[in-house]
Amino acid sequence: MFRQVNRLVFQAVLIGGLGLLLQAAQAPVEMVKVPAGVFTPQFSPRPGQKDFQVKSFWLDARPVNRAEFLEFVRKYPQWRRSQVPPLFQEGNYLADWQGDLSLPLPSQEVKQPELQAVTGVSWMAARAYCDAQKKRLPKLLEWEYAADETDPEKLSWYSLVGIGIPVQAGVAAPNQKGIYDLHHMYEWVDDFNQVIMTNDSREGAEKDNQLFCGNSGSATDRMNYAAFTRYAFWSSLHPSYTLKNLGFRCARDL
Amino acid sequence: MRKHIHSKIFGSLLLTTALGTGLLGIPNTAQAQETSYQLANAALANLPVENAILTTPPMVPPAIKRKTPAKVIVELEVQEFIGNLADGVQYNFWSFGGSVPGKFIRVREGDRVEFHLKNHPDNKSPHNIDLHAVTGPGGGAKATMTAPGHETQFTFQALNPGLYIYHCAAPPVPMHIANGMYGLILVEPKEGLKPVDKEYYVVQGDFYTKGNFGEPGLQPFDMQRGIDEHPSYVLFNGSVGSMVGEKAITAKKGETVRLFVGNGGPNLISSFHVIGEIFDLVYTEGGSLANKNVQTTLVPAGGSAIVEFKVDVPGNFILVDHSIFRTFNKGTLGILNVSGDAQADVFTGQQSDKVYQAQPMHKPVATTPATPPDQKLMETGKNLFVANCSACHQTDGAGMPGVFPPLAKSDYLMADKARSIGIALKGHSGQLLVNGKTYDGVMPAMTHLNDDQLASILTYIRNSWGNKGDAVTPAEVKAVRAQQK
Repeated sequence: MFRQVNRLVFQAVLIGGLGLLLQAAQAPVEMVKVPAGVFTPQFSPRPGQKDFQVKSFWLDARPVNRAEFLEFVRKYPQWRRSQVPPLFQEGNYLADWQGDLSLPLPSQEVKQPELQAVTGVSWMAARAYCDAQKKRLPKLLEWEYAADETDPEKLSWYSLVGIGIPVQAGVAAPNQKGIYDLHHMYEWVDDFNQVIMTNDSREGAEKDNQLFCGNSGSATDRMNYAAFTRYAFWSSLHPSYTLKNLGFRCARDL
Repeated sequence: MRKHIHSKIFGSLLLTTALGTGLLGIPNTAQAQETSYQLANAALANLPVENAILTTPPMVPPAIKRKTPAKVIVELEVQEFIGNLADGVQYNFWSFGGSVPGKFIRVREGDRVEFHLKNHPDNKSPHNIDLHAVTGPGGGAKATMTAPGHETQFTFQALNPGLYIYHCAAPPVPMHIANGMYGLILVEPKEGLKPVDKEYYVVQGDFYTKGNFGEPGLQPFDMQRGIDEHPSYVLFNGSVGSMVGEKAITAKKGETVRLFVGNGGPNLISSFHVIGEIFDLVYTEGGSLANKNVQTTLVPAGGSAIVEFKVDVPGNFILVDHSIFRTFNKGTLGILNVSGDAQADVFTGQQSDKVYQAQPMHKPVATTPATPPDQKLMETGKNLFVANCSACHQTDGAGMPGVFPPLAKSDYLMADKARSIGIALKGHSGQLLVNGKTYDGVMPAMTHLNDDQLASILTYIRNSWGNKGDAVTPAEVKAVRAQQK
């Protein structure tokens, strides 16, 4: 187990150092092949349908880290902090960085800031990053399927106060599907605003019975407050938002 | 005019949608909202503008002196923080303004309230606010759905006077409320409320923790308990002892006290009562109907009541939820301390105190020779005492005059070890005489504690706060328990 983690970290550093070419070539290695399956999401995106067939896809084993995002902005200057137009970011884009091309300094709590998940990026920026890797953002349904978790111990982050420190690659154990660093921050998904579009948690009855979020009657698992919280969070977002507790990972079709 | 606004918004919506779709594939209604703000703002241009004074419980903002409407700006910041549910028990609270309940808001009927909701960037969850004082969809919830690090704004006219709950309505709604996201907004009637001497702010709420009442440490939220409606805590103003000792609310004899009482829920209905007082006036459910001479008034979850009474007699008056286990075992207890000289024509206090000769209730049990209690036993005893006994007897063992007998330097406690064990095991009901004062209350049986636990509690209380006795052994507890069967 420990070995596997080390290998992942090593790969991350290697990839960060050697740049995008190598990463593109090796992408499937640090991606996990999520097997096809049937999934029942907390809120169905389609009225009347509970279960959904999810096709097999590749998903990054862990969130994109700062070193990787730094490589990206080196190569694509239009995504540097001083260059991104306000339409693509609301104002706190990479706010914790020291400058366009300099990461936060190490601290007592974060010894290797380059290995922390990148946060404070807008949906457009996350999307552009994945594009550049010839990948894409995962769909909400794919993310929920891959991240499915019921162990309350592993979901405690959602009920605790404060955002915590963005996760570091491969430190905690992966879930059953081999995915690392879930449920320690929020992550962008491609279609984050498909659910609870009204933003009012209880108005769903009028718009779409399936999405009556405040009413747990429409929810698949009324105990799963972590999923409630994620859906609520996604529905509060606008694509230009850049939040401290919001990072991303990429996906790819088989 | 209205038609005009609609068509304008609709047009703008279409435009932004077209733009948004073209660029990003996502509709954007920000511009449409901007337009409607401008129109609404134009209508408000002639009103005087003021910033609302917001207060933390148990304080209430000053009465409104204005005789005409104003535009009132309210700014509330959502704060997620770790605070005390009880001494030694922490909880992850979510709040409107850093306290539970949140800040008290006071406006006047007819006011236009410009509401700003701020979600601190270090918060984890999106939040919003549904004010029951709002006439409009969601009570403002949809208009204020706010991501961390964002601020939203909407304006409403306070059409109906009354005392209203506000709460968060972001999903999962029950969890947001259970974590403390509620407070009160008072819409004063045009003619104002009758001036009184003291006003206070009290909100009841039920809490659902993984550990039972008193279990120390940071306690996570327990969803199953919430669904089952089995709270581990029921509290006034967010913590055990929020209004006792130095934090008790106060008044002077002869003053009239008005309590703005709310109930955030999420589940329980409160039977609000003040021990030793009769409410002269109750604005039932926080509305305009005034009832007189009420002992206990119902406060629905997501509802309120305004109660008023003149305090004619000095002393401690105890605020309770008269669903009384909640007071004695779950925390709904606050104190109104009234100062002043005795008022014997209304209440004499105790007039006589005689020894009552009765048959002994328990046969004395043979005691072992005195041995000094060991430190570990004392420590365990202290923790268990705090969790199980201190709500009534207080952490310093002083009890509460006239209500809960003291344990500190208690002649009754120290006189008969077996009797004390018996009371812990079986509870007590009826009169007893402690240090020359009569008490007439009910103590529940500590049946949930085993022999070891009871022995440590009894050892602790018999060797604390000036008490000096021998240790109580589990064997002694066992012996008394066997005798009671």
